[in-house]
Amino acid sequence: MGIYIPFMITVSYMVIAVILGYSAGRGRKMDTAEEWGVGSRSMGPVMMYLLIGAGGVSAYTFMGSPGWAFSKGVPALYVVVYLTYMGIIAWYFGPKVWELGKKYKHVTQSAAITDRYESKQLGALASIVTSIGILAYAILQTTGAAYILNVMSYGLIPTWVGVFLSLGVISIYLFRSGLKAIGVTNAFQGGLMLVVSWFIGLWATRQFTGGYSFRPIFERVRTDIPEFMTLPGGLGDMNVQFWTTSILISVFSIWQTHWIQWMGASSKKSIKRAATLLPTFYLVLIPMIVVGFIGIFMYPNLANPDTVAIQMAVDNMPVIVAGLLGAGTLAAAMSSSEPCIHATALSYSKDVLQPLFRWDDATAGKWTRRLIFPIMGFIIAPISIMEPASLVYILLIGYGFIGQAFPAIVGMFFWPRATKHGAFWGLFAGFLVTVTFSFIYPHPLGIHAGIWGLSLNMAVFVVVSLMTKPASRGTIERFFPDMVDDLYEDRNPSVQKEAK
Amino acid sequence: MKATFKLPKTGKGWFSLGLILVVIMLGSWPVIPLVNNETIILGMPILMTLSVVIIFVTTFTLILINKIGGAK
Repeated sequence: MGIYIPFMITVSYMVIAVILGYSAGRGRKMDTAEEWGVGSRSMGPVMMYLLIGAGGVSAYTFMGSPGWAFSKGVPALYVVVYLTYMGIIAWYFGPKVWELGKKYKHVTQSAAITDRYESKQLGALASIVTSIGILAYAILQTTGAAYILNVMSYGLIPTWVGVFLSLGVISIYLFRSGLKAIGVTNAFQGGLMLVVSWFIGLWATRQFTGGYSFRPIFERVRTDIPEFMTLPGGLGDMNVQFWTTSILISVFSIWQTHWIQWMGASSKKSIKRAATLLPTFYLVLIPMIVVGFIGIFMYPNLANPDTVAIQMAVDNMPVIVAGLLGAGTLAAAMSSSEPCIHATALSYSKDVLQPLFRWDDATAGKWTRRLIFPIMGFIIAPISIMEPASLVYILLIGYGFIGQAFPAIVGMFFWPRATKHGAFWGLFAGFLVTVTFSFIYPHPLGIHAGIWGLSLNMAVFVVVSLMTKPASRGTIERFFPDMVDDLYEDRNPSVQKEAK
Repeated sequence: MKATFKLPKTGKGWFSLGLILVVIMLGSWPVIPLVNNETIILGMPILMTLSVVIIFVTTFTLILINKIGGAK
């Protein structure tokens, strides 16, 4: 019976998440995109801090980062750096996106692209193509959640049951409470992750060294496997160029999920405060990376590096600690997949189906939250159960594409002369180059494929924009009110028009 | 229509942009090769210590820019 205590702790976490998430939307009518999609823009800075922080930290924290430390060493730290820099992006763009969305009633990134470039087609295309990466990410997290349930139940829960169990739990509170549920559950999951990560890290350190200092661990690493202390790492695949460009492409990737989370803030100030402190959340990764280094000596023959922390917990730690790690890992997986499901449903409804079927806002609002079921049932669940080897490739393409949307966002906030043709052809060229340099000639000169794609994308974006007709003056005035006087030769067109 | 890019308009704005660029360089190509060695600082590999430093430097930089109003 005792061996099932970790499993019971893990399941208890799911029950708590359902209760918290379900009750988050109590007393609210969720059949509008504004309420279900962005929680009526009501979240304060603490909630925003945990929402964005937990959403950014996936099952990677408890599985991938110790796994990378175990197999490569310090290259695992690039994630700490890029997540920290993504805090700068949230801090700069978050309040601007929030203000724009509030003023012009955008709830998604694609809606803002549609409005800025006066093209529903471009917005719909952006929605569909960026959703590939987002859904692939949700699938990876769901697979991770099912894996944890399988391990914690000692094989009692097969993968397919784990997939339906984790998606079923998410669907209950996501359908009922929308972004509010994500906010509340992510707050809980974020807090749990912070505590569990440091607890496990310090516990493992004490067990391995007899104290709480990391120094003996790294002195041994330096003596036995010094290549794990520097780039390019134990596998020799992360040189300085690849480290730098991997960080940059990740920072330039502004996800639909981030955009929608920013929209949920109660004010510009609220998101600014949260994002200012956001980098501190990512300290959560450090102890788990240390656990991966300890695993090198404890499990020299471990077949799957991603399981190093779980293995260590199950073998060496008290059942309650192992259960907490199971709950923390499940929390990390679910807190990352639920914003993806939510954002995809919201964007498909508002940016693709509403213009396609000419729905009014009430119809789109009703359909929005119902779309989570076909997305989970027909896309995420079957692919998660199949666990296709190509999923990582789909994810890579997705990442590459999301980064390629960056110039379109530049055109929204920094460059009024940007046009829909420039954005489209830049994105198209960037995507092709990213795919080519991801799979056919991988990362030439050690530079990330996405950065090659983004460089060409930016060049095409600028050249094509200069050759094509800009958006109407009305749109430019709305997006760049402080620049209008300097942009046009005729300073008062309405007077001139009347004179003619 | 002119093809002007939106740039910072004040000295504080340019200073803030400069700070952000310095923070980003701290974790990338110009600085990483300088610390890419086996030194242990504060009980951690120097790259790990730098990552923790970057977390705090970024946070303090954002706090500073908020205070001076450099990102309007």
